[in-house]
Amino acid sequence: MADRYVELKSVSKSYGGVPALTKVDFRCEPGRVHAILGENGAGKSTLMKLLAGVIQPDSGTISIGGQTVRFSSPRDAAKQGTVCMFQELSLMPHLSVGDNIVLAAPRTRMGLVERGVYQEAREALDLVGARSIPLGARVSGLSLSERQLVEIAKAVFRKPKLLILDEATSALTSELVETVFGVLRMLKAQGVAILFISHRMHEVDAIADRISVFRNGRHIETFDVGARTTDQIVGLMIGRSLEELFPPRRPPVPDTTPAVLDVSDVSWQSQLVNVSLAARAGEIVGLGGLDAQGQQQIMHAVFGVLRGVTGRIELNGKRLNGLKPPRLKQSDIGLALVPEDRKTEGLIPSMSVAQNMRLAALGRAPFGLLDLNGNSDARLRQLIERLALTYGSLEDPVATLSGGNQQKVVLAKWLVLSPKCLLLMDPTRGIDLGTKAQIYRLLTDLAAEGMAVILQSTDYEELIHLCDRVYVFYRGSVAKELKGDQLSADALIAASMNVHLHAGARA
Amino acid sequence: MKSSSMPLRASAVNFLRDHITYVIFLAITLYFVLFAPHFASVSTAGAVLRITAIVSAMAIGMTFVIICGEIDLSVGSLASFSGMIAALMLDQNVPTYVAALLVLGAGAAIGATSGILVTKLRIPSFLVTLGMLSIFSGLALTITGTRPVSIVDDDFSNLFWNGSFLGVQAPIWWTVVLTAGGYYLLHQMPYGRRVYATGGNAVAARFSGVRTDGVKIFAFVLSGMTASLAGMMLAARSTAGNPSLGAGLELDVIAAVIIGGTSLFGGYGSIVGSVVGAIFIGILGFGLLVLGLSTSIQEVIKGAIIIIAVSLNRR
Repeated sequence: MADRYVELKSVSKSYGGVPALTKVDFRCEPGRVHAILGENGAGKSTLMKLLAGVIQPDSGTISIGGQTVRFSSPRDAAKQGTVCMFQELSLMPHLSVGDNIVLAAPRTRMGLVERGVYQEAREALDLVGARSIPLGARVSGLSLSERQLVEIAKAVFRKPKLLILDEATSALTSELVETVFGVLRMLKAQGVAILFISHRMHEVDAIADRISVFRNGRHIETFDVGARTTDQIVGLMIGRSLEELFPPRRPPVPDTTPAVLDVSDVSWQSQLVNVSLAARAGEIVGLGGLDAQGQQQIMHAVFGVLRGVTGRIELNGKRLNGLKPPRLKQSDIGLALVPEDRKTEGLIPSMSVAQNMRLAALGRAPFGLLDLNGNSDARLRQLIERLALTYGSLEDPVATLSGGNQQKVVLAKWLVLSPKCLLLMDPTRGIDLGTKAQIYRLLTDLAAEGMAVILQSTDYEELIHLCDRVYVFYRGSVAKELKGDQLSADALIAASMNVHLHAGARA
Repeated sequence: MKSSSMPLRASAVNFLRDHITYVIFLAITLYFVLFAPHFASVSTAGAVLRITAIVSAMAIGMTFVIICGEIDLSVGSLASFSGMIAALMLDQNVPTYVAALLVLGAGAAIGATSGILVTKLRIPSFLVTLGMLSIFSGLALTITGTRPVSIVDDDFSNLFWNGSFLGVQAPIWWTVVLTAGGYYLLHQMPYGRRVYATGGNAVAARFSGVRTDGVKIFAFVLSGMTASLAGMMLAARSTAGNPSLGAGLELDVIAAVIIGGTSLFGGYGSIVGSVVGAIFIGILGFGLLVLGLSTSIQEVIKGAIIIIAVSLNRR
């Protein structure tokens, strides 16, 4: 069948023994927009990298237009008309917009860049709705969304046959998303095959013709848009129903309960603007929003790792402004933070599992011999059991544990101090589902025991199904507080983009 | 506890792999015992341990700094400087113990200065301590206009070099006491755990409520104090404060720490390893001397063996 532009047959790829893709059969056709959905670690990026020639499959074949191909570099793939836009922007900040676009496919005459190509670059920019960006402007002077448009113009300029967009619309406002979708529809009409990766279900609904769901490196199912409900699609992505993943809802904490953590009018540089929020004992409070809208900074501000924070931060009536983590972790305050990136911020890879778990509690007995710290060790053992930590020996380096177990070590390190308020930054990112379910269970139990839990998350399901209330951040301030029945994916997304419901990017 | 779960042979192989420098160390010692005349004797052992006491002392302080992920290049010139001010104070009839404590205090203050410059001004420790090296080798020369100052105080000489207690000579006692103290501090106390955490991943340590700046500053204080102590040992040995006594010692000290298995990038290391490294360098120097090789060739062989030992010990 000649119309199958790209076809993968039984393709497998593993990294150092860890399978990333297992026997994947997949095809996409010209003139269609094909959305790829899946959780982090489902194999989406690996699939894209295979098609773009960044990596090669361990087994199986990739064919384009009916011919088996084997790309040895992204350059090979580009020659075949595959153009890829990765999540991370790939523009050279110190070159001009025009040079960046032309650089993608330079045409030369007698060793000099041809004049006409700049004209084409201009046309490509106009086409994607970036009329206001001059060719001579330096990329470093552009805003994030302008850069994203240049990136898209660069792709259009290369006249792709297969265009891959990996979260390429994540930095765009809803109006610009519409513009880009217009370009995609035009390319589609010209017969370009488009692969579209996005976490935003409504964007997928708006642009895609077909949807493929990936999970744990396997291609689960492909269907036309509209053939499945959103809940069914989410079920396919996570491999079990939401009821199995999340513990049952707890009764809401009455509004009259006094707040444990009380943050009011907190600002920091230009990244936090008058943020006020509160968390009561027994509550799980979510912080959501698009990436880097201030929800990470407010956690750092509360935990005392930012300098020059203004406003008021109180915990059980004690003012925390200006206090640093060594003071905040003391039992009379009782604040703990599970940082965003467990590899760089959470763990000391050169130290053992046990040493990592004891790190936050160090110094409770300043002159004692470490190995005789009986009390905290008994508590650690309880926690290890409670967290169902899977390990070989407590003396093994912590780096030998799986991602999920590493996160449990970070949790144990703090829980051994019995904090009153626990701040968590995206604690389940890149963790397998079984461990996720355990962590959700644990957080629910901790809240039930009276801890105030604040959960910053990029996972909408987590915010909807685990949290009592969610503060949605937009450009450094709280755009909306959602609770109870208001907590839905649509409401979260609308608030994240700071648009009113029904006025968003729905086509 | 660890090894009991493993078959004996596997754990022996693991031990050898983890301590490859000890194997090389033993092989070289064995070579000297077999081929160097009169090497295998108690007096040789005593001589080697006395010679290495100075490097051992400095290596113990340096271990803390290097595990923190920093470096202290100033220890050699700080030792010269300490020897000089000790000699000058004794010359002014300052009581022996007061002078010794003041010199230690000066070492601590100088270490703290380096530490504060490194952590608060965020200047790389290589540069800060390189500057300190230059400053204190210059100062040591300047105070007396390059003249050595002789020490006639017997208490001082006995305390740091010539004395003996229970039949064991003072420098060996110092090595034992410092090793035990360093071991306790690094391996048994919370401070040591914080040192490993700071060098292993400073960001994660800070997020765990470890004052990484304070941990580093105190490591430099320890290094400064051991350098001062070593300087007084040097002065007592030569019964004079001599402004160039410690010159170049920092290289032997750093080599000892690295040979002992401490990672130059921080996060790994041990006190006993550093002392073994110092003794290794001592045996190497002494053995080559006994074999009758010229000092210039000794340096070449010493350098080559250090590189081989470290390359086999890479993590």
